[in-house]
This record gives sequence, C-alpha cells and structure tokens, in this order.
Amino acid sequence: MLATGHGVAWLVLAMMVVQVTLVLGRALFGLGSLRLHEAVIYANAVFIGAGIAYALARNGHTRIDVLRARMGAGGRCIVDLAASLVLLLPTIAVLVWTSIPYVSGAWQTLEGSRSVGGLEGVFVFKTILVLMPALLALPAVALALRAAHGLAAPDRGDAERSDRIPSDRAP
Amino acid sequence: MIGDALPLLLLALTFGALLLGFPVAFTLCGVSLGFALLASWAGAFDAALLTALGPRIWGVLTNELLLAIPLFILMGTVLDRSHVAADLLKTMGDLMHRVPGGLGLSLCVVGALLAASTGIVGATVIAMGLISLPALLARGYPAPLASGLICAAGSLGQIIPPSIVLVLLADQLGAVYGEAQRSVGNWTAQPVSVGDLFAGALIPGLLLVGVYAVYVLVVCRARRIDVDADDARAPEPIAVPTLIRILVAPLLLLVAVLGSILGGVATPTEAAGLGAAGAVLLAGSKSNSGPGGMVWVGIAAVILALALRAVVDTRLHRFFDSLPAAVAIVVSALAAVAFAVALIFAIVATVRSGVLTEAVRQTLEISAMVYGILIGATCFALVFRGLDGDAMVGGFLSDLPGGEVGALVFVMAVIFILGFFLDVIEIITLAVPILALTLLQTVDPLWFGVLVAVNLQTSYLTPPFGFALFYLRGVAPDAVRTLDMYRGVLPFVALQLAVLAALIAFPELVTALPALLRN
Repeated sequence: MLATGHGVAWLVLAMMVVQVTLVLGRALFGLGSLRLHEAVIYANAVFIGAGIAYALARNGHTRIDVLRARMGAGGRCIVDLAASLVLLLPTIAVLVWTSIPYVSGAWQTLEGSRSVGGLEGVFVFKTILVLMPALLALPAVALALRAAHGLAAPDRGDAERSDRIPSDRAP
Repeated sequence: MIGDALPLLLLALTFGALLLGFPVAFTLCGVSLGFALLASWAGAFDAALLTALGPRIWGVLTNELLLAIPLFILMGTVLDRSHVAADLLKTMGDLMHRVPGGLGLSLCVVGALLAASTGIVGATVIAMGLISLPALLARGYPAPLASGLICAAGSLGQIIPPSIVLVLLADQLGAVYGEAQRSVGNWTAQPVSVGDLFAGALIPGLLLVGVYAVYVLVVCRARRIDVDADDARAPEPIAVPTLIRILVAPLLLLVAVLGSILGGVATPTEAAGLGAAGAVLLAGSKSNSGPGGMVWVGIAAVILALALRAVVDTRLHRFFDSLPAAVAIVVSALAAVAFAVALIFAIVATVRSGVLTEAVRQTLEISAMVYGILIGATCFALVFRGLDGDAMVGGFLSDLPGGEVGALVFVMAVIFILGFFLDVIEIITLAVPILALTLLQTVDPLWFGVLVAVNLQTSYLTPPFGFALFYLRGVAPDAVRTLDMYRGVLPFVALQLAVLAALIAFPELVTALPALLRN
C-alpha cells in the first residue's frame, strides 16, 4: 500500500513538468495541446484516487481530536474499530455499488473526451471511481484489524501511530 | 413534520460523529450515506439520488480549478523541506535585532512571506515555533504574547494569496453563487474566479499583517519588552549574495506566481505549476552537490525569453515572416532548452538530497486529505439537499430580523462558532454552501468570500481545535503552558474580528483591487 503510494506520489512532479511546459509553450511559441492539458487532469485523478488509501495507511486524514486526545488507547481502538465497520466499510460498498453502473456505461460507449482533439480513453480513467474505494478497503481493513488487536492486547497496540511529526498533518 | 426534522437530525448526527475523532472524510461519507439508506427505507429519501454520487465524485476528481491544490501543496512542501522557511526566519531575526520590538516585527513580516509562499499553516507555525519561540522568550517576550504572535502570523497563509483555502472557496462559491442567481432568475451570473478572490484577499491580508505589527510594537513599547539593542548577541554580518538568495528569491517566486494570476497571464492552476517548478529550482540552487549557478542561468534565460516575447512575436508560425522574428524564435528556443536543463538539474539534485522524495509523498498525503474531505462533503451535501435541508436553512435565514445585514452577521457568527470545532476545509466544503445559498442572491460573492476567509482565520486560533495551537503545542518547550497559548491568542482573535468588522463596514477594502485589475 505504502509502496504504491510512494510510486504514485511522483505523478505530481510529472503534472508540474507538463503544466510548466504548457505555460511556457503557449507564452513563448503560441503552442498548445489539449491532450496534454487533459492528461494533467487525469493524472491528478489517478494521484488522488490512489492517495486517499495512502493517506489512510499513513493516518494522514484529518481527525477532530479534542475528545480523542482525552480517550485512552482502548477508547481510540473502540472508535476506530466501530467506525471502520459502521462508517468506512459501508461507505466503500456504497461508493463501489453506485459507481459501477456509471463506469460501465462509460466503458460501453468507450467514452472519450468531451472536446474535439482531447484525450481519448476517458472510460479507462473513469474506472478510478471503482478502484479508489476498492483500494481504500485495504487500509480500512488494516485499520479495523489493528484496532481489534489493540483491544485484545492493550499494552501492545494503539491504532494511532506515535512516530508522526505534526507537520505531516498540514495545512 | 418528520421530514422537517430529518435534516436537523442528520446535522446533529454528523456533528456528533465527527467529535468521536474518526477521519473527517469517512465520517462525513459514512454518516450521510448510512442516513440516506435508512431514510429511503423509511420512504423519506429518494435512493435514486445516490446514483448521482459517481458523476459528482468524478466532477471533484477532474475539476480543473482544484488541480491547483496539489501543485500549490507541492510548492509549499518543497520550500518547507528545503529549509527556505528556517533560513528566512533566522536572517530576518538577525537583520532586525537592533530595532525595538524588532524580533516581533520580523515575525509578522516573515510570517506573511512564508504564509504566502508555502501556504501551509502547520509548516509555518512549526518552523516559527522551533526557531523563533526560543529567541522571543530569550529576548524577554512573555510566553502568551510570543505564542499568540506565532500562531497568528503562522496562520496568515490561508488569507494571503496564493492560498489553497481561497482556491477551495472560489470553487464552492462559484457553484453556490450560480445556483443562487438562477433561483432569482439571473441565468448569466459570472462565476467567482480565483484571480478575483486572490485580488480581493490581498489588501485584507496585508491589513491583518499591519494590525499584528502595530499591536506588537505598541505592546513592546508599553511593557518595555525588547527595547534595548542587544550587542552581546549581535549576529555575524550577512554577505549580500546570501541575503539575496534567502530573502529575494522567495519573494520573486511569490511575485511571479501572484503576478501571473492577477495579471491574467496564467490560470491559477498554471501559476501553481510554475510556482512548484520555481520552488524546485530554488531548492536545487541550494544543493551543494553541483553547480547551483546552472539553475540561475536557466531562470535568467526564461525571464529573458519572456521579455523578448513582449517585444517580438515569437509564435512559431511567424518563423518565416522576417529575419528578426526567426532569430528571436531561435533565441527563445535556446532559452527554453536552458530552462529545461536547469529544471532537470534541480530535480536530480533535490531527489538526491531526499528533499523532493519527501516533498512529493507529503504532497500526496495532504492533497488526498483535502480531496477526501471534498468527497465526504459531496456525499453529505447530496443527502442533506435530498432531504430538503437547504430549503430549511434558507427559510430560517430569510426569517431572521435585520434583513440582509442580519443574515450576513448571523452567517458570520455561525462560521466563527463552527471554527471552534471544525477546521477550515470542512467549514468551506460543508457549511459555506449551505449557509451562502440564500445570501448570495443579493450579496456580492467576492466580498462574501473574503469575509469568510478572514473569519476563518480565527478558526486556526480558537481553542480547543485551533490547528495553529496544536502545531505550536507540539514543538513548544514545556515552560510555555497551554493556558499561556490560549491567553496569547485572545488579542489576536480580537484583532481579526476587528478587521472583519472593518471589511463589513468598508467593502471597498475588498472590492477596490479586483475592480482596478479588471480595468
């Protein structure tokens, strides 16, 4: 999970390079490319689609921790376990279930760009809508298991990783 | 009757669930979708509405405006990881050590600069907390004043453009404003542009900096803090080239990013790409592993080429028009190549030093966090509106005494109170669309947006969830008590509210600059 994220993270650098190329190409030489422009947008969709799961694996999603700070390790584990089972995993199921008709519709028509001369193969990228929640299921299950483990062996596991520095939780 | 209570029940459940401390993004999704399923089972919600989830989320993922967010975050993380912030703080502190109240003043200035360039509140507050808090305390600043100042100056990043918060706000307001205007029969409403919002927030942002600075100077004079020049600790004189690199380079980067947006040359997304590339170049120029001068050659070349473009038409199809055009095009092409080489060099250097590797990973994590909340808010909004919650809020707001001003003040009060509990991104994505729908039928969206942005500044400082407080607590020495911090931010929250009141009383403070730029 983390390795996937570490690979996907470089996409933002590619987005930056292409974006700069587009700006300078237009500013200096009057050149433009709708395909490249749309490629940046879909690269970002892939970036985020994989990133949502990555951030959960790294405990990077914002939590409101005023009560959490006062809970013991056991309380946190109960919240994480219960919320994973009641909130997170059902969400994943609903997102997959509602996205499948939308995505399969795109595959059936081999949906392309809405603009002339744009990037083809939009239906492939749209699959992110199903893959994103599916990928999220992995760290979600891991979170639930870790919390359950923490409940079973209170001295060993806290679902919260303690080695994080706060700056990772910006902005 | 039960139908009326459902939106309220959803609000209460969501709020309660958020307080449990599970990630906000998934709490929003989970509670609203679960609620929708139960309500549809009871016949109070049309489950067919949920088929809109796919297109809505796809719309969030492929939104061109929001694309600026990961790129701005990359710019911030690169600047942060390459210690631009730390260098700035130290240099400014050294420069100002003779001025009475100088250290506090330099924090205001550097806070504004850092805020604008990195735009990441956590990074700025932590850097200041680590570097400047000990210096402030050693210089005799009381702990509340020092910690309050750091929190306030450090959270300027979200009001001084370019800022992620303003990009998000423009996105949300654009949609809501269009809808509000359509509901009163105006089908041709112009969307709120990021550029306008940036321009509108600039003067209020600088006003905040100025107010903080005056406050610090006054308090220092009155309480005789930091008044005597401290020659014993006089720092080494700084070489001018170093000074240029440390102070001027980040400033140039900012001017380039902001200027290209405000001047209408580049879209915010393009400017964010340029800003990120500029940050990588700056980080590369600092590396000791190779000729940092290469980077400056590349930057100079591209500036030259852009200047040339202003004089000669260097678009490629002009190549055969005249000899000067052909020469200019060749020169520009060479400059572009030099820039590309410089960028590649900087990327390689920063990958080797580990700066870029860390920065892209952090960018992925933070961007995903922001998008996660956006997706959660999309789910919530779909369900809330499916239950006619928006009509309920609208009806409530129009029933308030005091008409438009009354409603505006009420909305601002709600956002201020929410700021105690929720963080900025959640307020913008959840509360602003619901609260603003009725108001934006008559109120200028640009003015409203900036008011919200200034109001949201307080949410960084107000306990218990002031994010700036969290960050500072994480790095502050134990001698600074949490209570000191709470006391220290109070005057700054008051100053922020005073500025907010000034902006309500004098809308020109917001609207003058965008109007000027448009002409």
